[in-house]
Amino acid sequence: MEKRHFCEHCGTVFLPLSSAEDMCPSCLLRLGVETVPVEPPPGIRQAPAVEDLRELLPGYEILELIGAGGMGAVYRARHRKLGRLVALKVLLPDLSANPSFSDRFLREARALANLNHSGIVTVFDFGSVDDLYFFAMEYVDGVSLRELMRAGSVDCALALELVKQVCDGLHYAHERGVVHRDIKPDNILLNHEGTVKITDFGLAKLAGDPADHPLTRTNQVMGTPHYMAPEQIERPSEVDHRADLYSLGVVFYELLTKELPLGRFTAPSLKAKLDPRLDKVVLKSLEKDSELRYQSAIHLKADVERLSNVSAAAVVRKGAQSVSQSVTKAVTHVAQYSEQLDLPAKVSSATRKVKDRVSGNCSRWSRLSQYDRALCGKIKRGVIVVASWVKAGAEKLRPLGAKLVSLAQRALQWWKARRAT
Amino acid sequence: MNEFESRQKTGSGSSDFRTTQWSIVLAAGNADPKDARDALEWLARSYWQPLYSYLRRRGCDGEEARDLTQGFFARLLERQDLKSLSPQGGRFRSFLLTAVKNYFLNEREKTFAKKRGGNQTTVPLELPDAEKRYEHEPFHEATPEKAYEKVWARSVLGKALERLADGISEEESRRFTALKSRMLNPSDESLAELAASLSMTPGAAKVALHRLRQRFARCLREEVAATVSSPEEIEDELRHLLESLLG
Repeated sequence: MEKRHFCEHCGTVFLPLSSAEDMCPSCLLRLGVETVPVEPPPGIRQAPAVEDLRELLPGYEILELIGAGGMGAVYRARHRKLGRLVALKVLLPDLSANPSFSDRFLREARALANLNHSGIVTVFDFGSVDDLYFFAMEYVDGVSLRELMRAGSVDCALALELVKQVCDGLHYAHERGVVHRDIKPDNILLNHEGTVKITDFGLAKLAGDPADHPLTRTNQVMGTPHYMAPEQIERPSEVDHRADLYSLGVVFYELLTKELPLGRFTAPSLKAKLDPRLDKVVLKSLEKDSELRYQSAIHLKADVERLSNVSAAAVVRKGAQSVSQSVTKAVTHVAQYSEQLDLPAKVSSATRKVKDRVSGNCSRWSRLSQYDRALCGKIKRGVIVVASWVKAGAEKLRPLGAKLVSLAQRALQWWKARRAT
Repeated sequence: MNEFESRQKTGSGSSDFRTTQWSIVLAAGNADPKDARDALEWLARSYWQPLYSYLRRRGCDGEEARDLTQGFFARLLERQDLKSLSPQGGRFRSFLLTAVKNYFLNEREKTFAKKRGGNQTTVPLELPDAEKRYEHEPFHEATPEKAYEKVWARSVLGKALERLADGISEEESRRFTALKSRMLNPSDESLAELAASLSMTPGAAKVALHRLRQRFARCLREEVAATVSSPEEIEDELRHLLESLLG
């Protein structure tokens, strides 16, 4: 019998595909399924190396590349004068193919810089050096809804809260004539205070003006056909704010059911045993005809609000419970596999102790530093969930939320230190 | 963007999509029967392990399962009625499971009637390490159908990884192996380590990793495309595979 391995990523024990592979098959398949293949859009070149960027943008201390995709690349950086952390988004258009890019960039960037809302990632600065165009945006320390879903931390009440917050941000932008065009779980972030931040507003349009491009190119630019409204695929030049509401409908459905609404999909209440009144709201957001859809984010929000009319106390209780449960689950996992994994006895006994304490009391995790990284990740995500419950109207939970954050951070630091030694 | 993908995305390429193996088999009615046979044989060679596991879970011993798997594919390839399949005939995975269920019941009846004579294997289908691989599977508690689905998902994944490694030259292979092993969990520290060991900058390593993931996602979709009847089914089939593996 082959040796079993422990997956740090999903926290389960697995059998590799073969002796030559040491990756967890479930995580690998999930990675493949969730990575939508995108070719770089025509005219966007490879992300510049950190060193090159340092020369080009001396006003910023470039810390690291944190993401590269079809639209360009994102770096974590510090604005030297202000000392403030920023996410630096770099676009690399091929100007020969896009002679009007410079004008459009200026126009769009100004519109984005004028968006000033707590639910939207703020644009501090923008500009161009040679033919490299960049935005300096608020750096959000938190997780994307994609990561939150992957961690299995979203339940119905949280989904409603998240959607409400996204509606606020969208409504604000729509009122100012700005359409996002690429709403998806990866572009919706949740920070440690439980505030939703929509990022990459309008960048899809900038990277590929639908008016200039045939269908396939638009698809390449957007990269995420699953979330696109039908009219966005069929008549990209006629897209208005209602396309965003469709995409949000897809996200909503996915938050509730963990699946995408493809083909003849099942109503969410049947899929995930939810309040059937939810179906009407989700299905109306997913109307193929934009005229039949919600006409404004504020209307969607109002309907969601009506459904989430639960008392704040219940929300708090549930939030605390859900975190307590997720930690208990994580700890149980470690305890269960510690023998197979040959963890030091110290860790095993500590986890058992913590497990006893956590059951019913999630404020006394004094032994957090004994955990391994997978566990820390789960705790961190749990913390973010708690923070969002706090946001949902639970003043009482606020100190607990802060305490959890600091505990989780300590645990992560411990883990990093252990890795280093 | 290659041909396959641009079609997959626009959903307008039904004519060229036919070149994937299962759609060739399904189109046997109006195509060269040899092509259909070749395509089916290719599929059989790729996906015999789920069948073998299914039969083992139905209570066959190793030798019996091996005989039945080979006999089944021999029968399948001899079948003259491939033409009766419709081009919208669903997925290869489901087709195969139904077919093997029937075959298994038939064979069992025959065995009861008279001791089965040596199986006339006409397919040169080798089942290397079938039993070893079966023992390697962690799903002994599942029903035969579930075992089939799980092994199927693992087979698809394995084929996609093979495809990913295809055409990697010897010089590239060290870098490829190192990057591949970080595909799942590229923490900053491990990435810096990786970059240093490959004499790349961390930024370059990150970009290379991103590209590798993208290529992996494409390989996976190409592999799945070979077993479905239309490109619209690919994403749905992928999700089914993931559910099978997680369930």
